Amino acid sequence: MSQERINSFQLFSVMFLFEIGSAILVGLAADAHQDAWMSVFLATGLGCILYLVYTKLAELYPSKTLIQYLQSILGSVLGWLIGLAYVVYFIYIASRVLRDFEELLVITAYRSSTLWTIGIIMVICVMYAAHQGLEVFFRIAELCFFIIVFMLLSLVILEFASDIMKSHHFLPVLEHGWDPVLKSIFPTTLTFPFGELIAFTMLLPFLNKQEQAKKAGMTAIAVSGLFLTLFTILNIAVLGANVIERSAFPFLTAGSYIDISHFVQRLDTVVIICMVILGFVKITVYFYCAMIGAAQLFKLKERKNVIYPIGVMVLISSLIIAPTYIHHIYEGVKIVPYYLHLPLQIVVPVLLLLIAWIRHKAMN
Amino acid sequence: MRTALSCMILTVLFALTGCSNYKELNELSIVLGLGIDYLPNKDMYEVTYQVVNPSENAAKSTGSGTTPVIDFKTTGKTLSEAAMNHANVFSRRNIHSHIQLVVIGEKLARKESLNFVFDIFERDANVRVNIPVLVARNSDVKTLLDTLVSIDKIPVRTLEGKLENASLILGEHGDTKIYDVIEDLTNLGSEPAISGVTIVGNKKTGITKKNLESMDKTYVALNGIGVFKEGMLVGWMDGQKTKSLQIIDNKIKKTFLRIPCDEKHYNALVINRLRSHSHVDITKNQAEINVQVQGYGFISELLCNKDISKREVLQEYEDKAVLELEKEIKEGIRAAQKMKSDVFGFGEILHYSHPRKWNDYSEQWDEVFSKAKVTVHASIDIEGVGMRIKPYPY
Amino acid sequence: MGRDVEKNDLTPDHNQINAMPPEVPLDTNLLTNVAKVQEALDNSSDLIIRYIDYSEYPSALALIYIDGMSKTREINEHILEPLTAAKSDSAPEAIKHHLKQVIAISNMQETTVLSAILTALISGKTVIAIDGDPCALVLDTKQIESRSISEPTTQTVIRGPKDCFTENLRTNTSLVRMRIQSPQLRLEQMRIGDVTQTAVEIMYVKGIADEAIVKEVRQRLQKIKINGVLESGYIESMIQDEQRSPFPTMMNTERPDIVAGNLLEGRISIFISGTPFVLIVPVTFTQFFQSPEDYYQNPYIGSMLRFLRLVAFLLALYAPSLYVAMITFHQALVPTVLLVSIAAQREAVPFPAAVEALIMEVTFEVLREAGIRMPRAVGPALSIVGALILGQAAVDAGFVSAAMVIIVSITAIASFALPYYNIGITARMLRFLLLIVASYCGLYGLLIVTLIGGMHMCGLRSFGVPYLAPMAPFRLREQKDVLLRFPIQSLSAPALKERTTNEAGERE
Repeated sequence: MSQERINSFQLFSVMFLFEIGSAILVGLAADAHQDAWMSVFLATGLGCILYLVYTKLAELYPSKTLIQYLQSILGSVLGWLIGLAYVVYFIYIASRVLRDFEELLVITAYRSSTLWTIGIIMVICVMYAAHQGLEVFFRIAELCFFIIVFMLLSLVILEFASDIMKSHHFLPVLEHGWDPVLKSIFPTTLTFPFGELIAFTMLLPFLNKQEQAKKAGMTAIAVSGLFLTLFTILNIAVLGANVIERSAFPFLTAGSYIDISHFVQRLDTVVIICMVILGFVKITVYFYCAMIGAAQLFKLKERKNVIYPIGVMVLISSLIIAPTYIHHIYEGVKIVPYYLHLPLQIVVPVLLLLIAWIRHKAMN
Repeated sequence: MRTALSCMILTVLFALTGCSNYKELNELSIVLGLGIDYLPNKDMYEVTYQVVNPSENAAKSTGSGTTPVIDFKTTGKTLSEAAMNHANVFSRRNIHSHIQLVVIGEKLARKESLNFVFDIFERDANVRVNIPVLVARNSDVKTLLDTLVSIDKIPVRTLEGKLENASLILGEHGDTKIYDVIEDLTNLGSEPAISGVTIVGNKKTGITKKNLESMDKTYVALNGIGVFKEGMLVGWMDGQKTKSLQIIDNKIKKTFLRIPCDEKHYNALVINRLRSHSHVDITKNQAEINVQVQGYGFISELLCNKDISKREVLQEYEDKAVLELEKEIKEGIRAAQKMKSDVFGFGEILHYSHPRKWNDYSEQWDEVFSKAKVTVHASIDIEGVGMRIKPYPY
Repeated sequence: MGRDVEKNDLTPDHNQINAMPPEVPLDTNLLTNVAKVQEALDNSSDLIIRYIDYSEYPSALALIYIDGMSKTREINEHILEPLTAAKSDSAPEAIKHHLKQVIAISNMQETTVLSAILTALISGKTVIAIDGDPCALVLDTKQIESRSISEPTTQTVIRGPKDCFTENLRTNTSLVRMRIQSPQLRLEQMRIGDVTQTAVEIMYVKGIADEAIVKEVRQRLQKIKINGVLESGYIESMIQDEQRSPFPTMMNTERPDIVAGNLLEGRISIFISGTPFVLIVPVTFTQFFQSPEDYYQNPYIGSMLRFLRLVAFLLALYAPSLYVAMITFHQALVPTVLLVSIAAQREAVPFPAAVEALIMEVTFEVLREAGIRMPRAVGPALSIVGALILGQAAVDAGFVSAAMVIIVSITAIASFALPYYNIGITARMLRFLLLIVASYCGLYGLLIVTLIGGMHMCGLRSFGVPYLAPMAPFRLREQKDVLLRFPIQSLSAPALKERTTNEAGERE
C-alpha cells in the first residue's frame, strides 16, 4: 500500500515503549494491593492471547489495516461507521495519554505553567513526527528503546543499591484470596496496557516481513510484561501497597526515595525524562493510527493533510476531557475500560475474527 | 507549512514567558531545615525555616561575617499558609526542595498529632520524603535550630550528621525518615519512634556568634527516642534499651555491649553483625512475642585479667554478652508495653504471618501488645580479640 | 543563479566555455587558425605565438602557449630543439607524422576543433598548429605551482602518517594510489564550473564500493551548474542530500589515510583541484566521532576514545543549556552543597543566568573567530586579553560567576576534542538554540527539542544511506566498528562488502 516499510526490530521497540508507556507511570492493578505484581504477570499472558486475535486478522487480510478490513468484513456502511468510531477512539486515547503527561509535568516541575503550554509543545513534537513519516518515527523509537532500557535498568540497580526495599511489603500473600487479583486483571489491567495493542492493527501492514509480526509482537508483549511486573514488584517493595494506593505517580515516588550516600539522589528527574520520551512514543502511535484511519475513511490521497486537524483535536480534547486529574483517573479506571476499551479492544476484534473465519470456511 | 509551524513555535515560546517557572538563583532562598511546632492557645502551626546565607558559605568567603544561616518563624493555620506567610518576613522566595531535616516540636507531638503534618511533604513533588525527622526534647524548636556550630557551619547539617553517625556506630538512634514515620502512622500494627534532640549548655550564648569563638560551646545532642501512639508523643525511651528498636527492625549496623567480668569492671565487646527474627502469635487473647538474635563481635577492651586464650573464658564472656543483650532488648520492649505503643511493629509481623488472627485483634492490638509474653533468645559469637591475645598479668 | 541557467540553456554541454565559439572546426590555413585563437582570447598579453619554418616551408608551424602556465624550458628543449633541427618532406601530413616522431613529450593529443585548443591552452598545454592541416597537436607541458607535502594542520594524530593533501589534484590522487596499489582503484575526471573549469575526480575501489552510489555521485556531479568551484565546500553544498540541515552529510579531510580507509570501506571520495580538502560520501553520523588513530592504537583505547568524543560532542552541545535549565528551573536537581556554592557565586552577578550564559558564549565565539583570522604575530596578545578579561577580571569584578566561566570553558574544550571540524560547527550553532530553549522552558523544552532534532537526523540520508545507521535503523552486525572498535582482524573485508550491499538494500 505505501512505500514506507518498518522492520521487525523496529516494531518490537515501538511496541515495547508503547506498552511500558503510561502504564509504568500510573501504577497498575493497585486494587490488588500487595499482589498487584501477580495481576500484571497474569495479564501479560492474556495480552498475548489478545494479540494473537489481532495478528490472525492481519493474516486473513494481509496488507490491510483495521479500518480497511472492517469494511470488507462488515460491509461498507457498518464498517465505515465502526471505523469512524475507532478513529475517534484513537484520538481520544491519544489525548488521555497527553493529559497524563501534562499533569505529570505540571505537578512535578512546572508548577506555574498551564496544562496547555506543556501540551502544545508535546503536540508540536508529535506533529513533527507525523510529518516526518512512519519510517523516521520508528527509527527514533529504536534509539529511544536503548535509552529507556538503559535508564530503567539503572533505576532498578540503584533501587537495589540504596537499600530501600522491604520484603515484608509483599506479605501477606493473597490476603483476600484471588478475588481482588482477578478483578484487577479484568478488565483494567488487561485493557490497559495490553488491549491498547489494538493500535498496531493499523501499523502491521507496514511491516516489511509480515510473517514476523507475530513473533516480534509476542516478544515485545512478553518483555514489556516482565518489565511492568518487575517495576510493580519494585514499587511495592519500596513504597508498600498503602503508599501506592494513595499516590498519583508511584513510580516517581519510588524513584525519589533513592539515596546513595547523599550523592546519587533526586532521581525522579530520570523518571520524568523517561516519561516524556515514553509519552511521546505512545501519543505518536495513536496519532498515526488516527491519521492513517482518517485518511483511509475519507479516501484522502495525502495522509499528511490531516496532521493539523488531528493535532488540534488531540490538544484541545486533552484539556477538556476532565476538569481535574482526579476525575481523569476516575474515568480511566471506572469508565473507559468498560465502555470503550472492552468493546473496541476485545468484542469487535473477536467478532470480526469469527465472521471472517465463517466466511473463509464458507468460501472453501 | 514550514513558516506556519515556526510561527506557532514562536507564539508558544512567547506564551510561555507569561507563566514561566523561571526563577533566578539570587532571588531564591534555599531552605535547609524545617522546624514545625504548634501553638495550642492559638491553634496554629508555627514553622521555623532555616535558610542558607550563600555568601557566608562560599569557598572563598565573600561575606561580611554575618551568620551562615538565617532562621525565621512564621505561623499559620495550615503549614502551607505558614509557608506563604514567610513573604511578610523574608525578601526572597523559599525553595523547599533542599530541606535536609525536619524537627518536630514537643508541643506539636504531645498536644496535636503527627497524623496530618506530613501530608504536605508527600503531596508536594518538590519536597523530598527521604529526609530524617527529629523531635525537639525540652527545648524550643527555633532555639534548637539557631544554635550555631563550628564544623559544617549550618546547624541542620550537623544535626543530620550526628543522627547518621549515631545510627551507624552506636545503634541507639535510628535514622528515621519521613516515609518511615508515614508508614508507621498508616499501618495499624506499628507506631513511629523518633529520636529526640536537646540543647546542652547555655541557650542564650548558643545562638550568638560568640558560641563559635568559645571553647565552652553550647551544642545540640541526641537524647532518647520519642514513643508515639496514634500520632501523639506518649513518652521517651532512654539509655541502652533504645538499641532494641534498631535490633528488632534489623537496622542496626554496629553497636557495643559491656560485659561484667568482676564486681566492678567491664569488658567491651563490639558487635558488627547482628540479625534478628521476630515471631508473633496469639493463642486465647494472649500474644506471644519471640525475638531471636544472632550476633558476631570482637573484644575491643579488657579491664580484668582473665586468660582469654582459654576457650572457657571466651565462652563465659559470650554467655554474659547474651544475657546483657537479652536484657537490653527485653527492657526496650517492656518500656514500650508500659506506654502501650507498639513501636516495634510486632502487629505488622502478626499481620503478615497470621492475617486471619490479625483481623480479629487489629482493633485492640495496643491492649494485647501491652500484655504480651515476651521471650528473647540471643546468641553471640566472639570472633576476634584484637592485637593482643592476653591481658595485663596483674 | 538565474544568470547561469540562462547561459546554460545556450550551451547544454557543461564542458564548454561559454565565451568561446562552440565546436568550430579548424581551418586548413594556419594564419586563420592563429587569428581565431587570438580573437577568442582577445589577444591576451600572456599568449605566446611563435611561427616556425619547416625545411623550406616558411611559417609552416605555429607554437602557441600561455606564458607562466607552461614549462618554458621543456618547450625549448623538447619541442623547439628537435623541430628546428628537423629536415624532411614538407607535405602537411608528413610534417605531422614527423613531429610525432621527434617531439619528446609523452602526453600528446590531436584535435580538430578550436574549443579544444582553447581548453588546452588555458590549462597550460602547448599547441602546435600546422599549415595546410585542419588538425593541431596538443602537448602536455603543464606547469603548476604547488607547495610541497606538509603535515596536516587541522586533523592531527599522535601515531599515524604525517602527510597531507596539497592544492595539486594529481599529488593528492597519487598520495592515495600510493596507499592502495590495486588495479581496482578507479578514478574518473570531470570538469565543473562553467568559468573556472575546475578538475574534479571521483575515486572509488571497484568491487567494494556500491555501484549504485557511484552512479548517484556521478549524476549529481554532472547536474551541477555553477560558475566557479574554488573549494570542496562548493561541491558539497551542491550535491548533499538535504540543504537545510545543520548536520554535515559529507565528510571532508586533508588526510590521505582517512581517504584510503574510507575507500576500503566502500565509500567514494571526491577530489577537487585547488584544495587540500577531499570529500567523502556517503557518511553516517557516527563516523564523525572516529579518528584514524582509533585503528592505529589498541582497540580498548580506540573504543574508549570514541565514547569520549561522543561525550565531548554532547557536552559541547548541552553544557550551557543544561546549566541554565538546572539553576533557573530545576534547582531541586542540583546537589545541595553545589547549589549553595553556585548561589554564593551568583549573589552579586547583575545579569540573569540565561543572559550571562549568552554573553559568555558569544564572547568566546568572538575570541575563537579572532584567533583564526588575526595575523599570526598578534596571537600572544589575543590569548592574554582573552584569558585575563574572560577569566580573571570578569569574575573578580562580579560580572559573571566563576561557575559560568567553567561551563563555557568546558564547552569550548569539548568542541575542540572532535576529530572533524564540521561536526564541531554543528554543535556550536545548535548550542545557542538549545540555550534559548532552555531559558524558556527548562529541561522539558530541551528534551522536546532533542526529540525533534533526533527525528530530523533519523530522516536525513547521505547518498541514500540513513544518517544514523547503524544505530537507527539498528544493525547488530555492524556494531563492531561504530562506538566500539573491535580488533582489526574482526573487521575483515567481507564485513565491509556486506555493509555496502546492506546500504543498497536499505535504499530500496
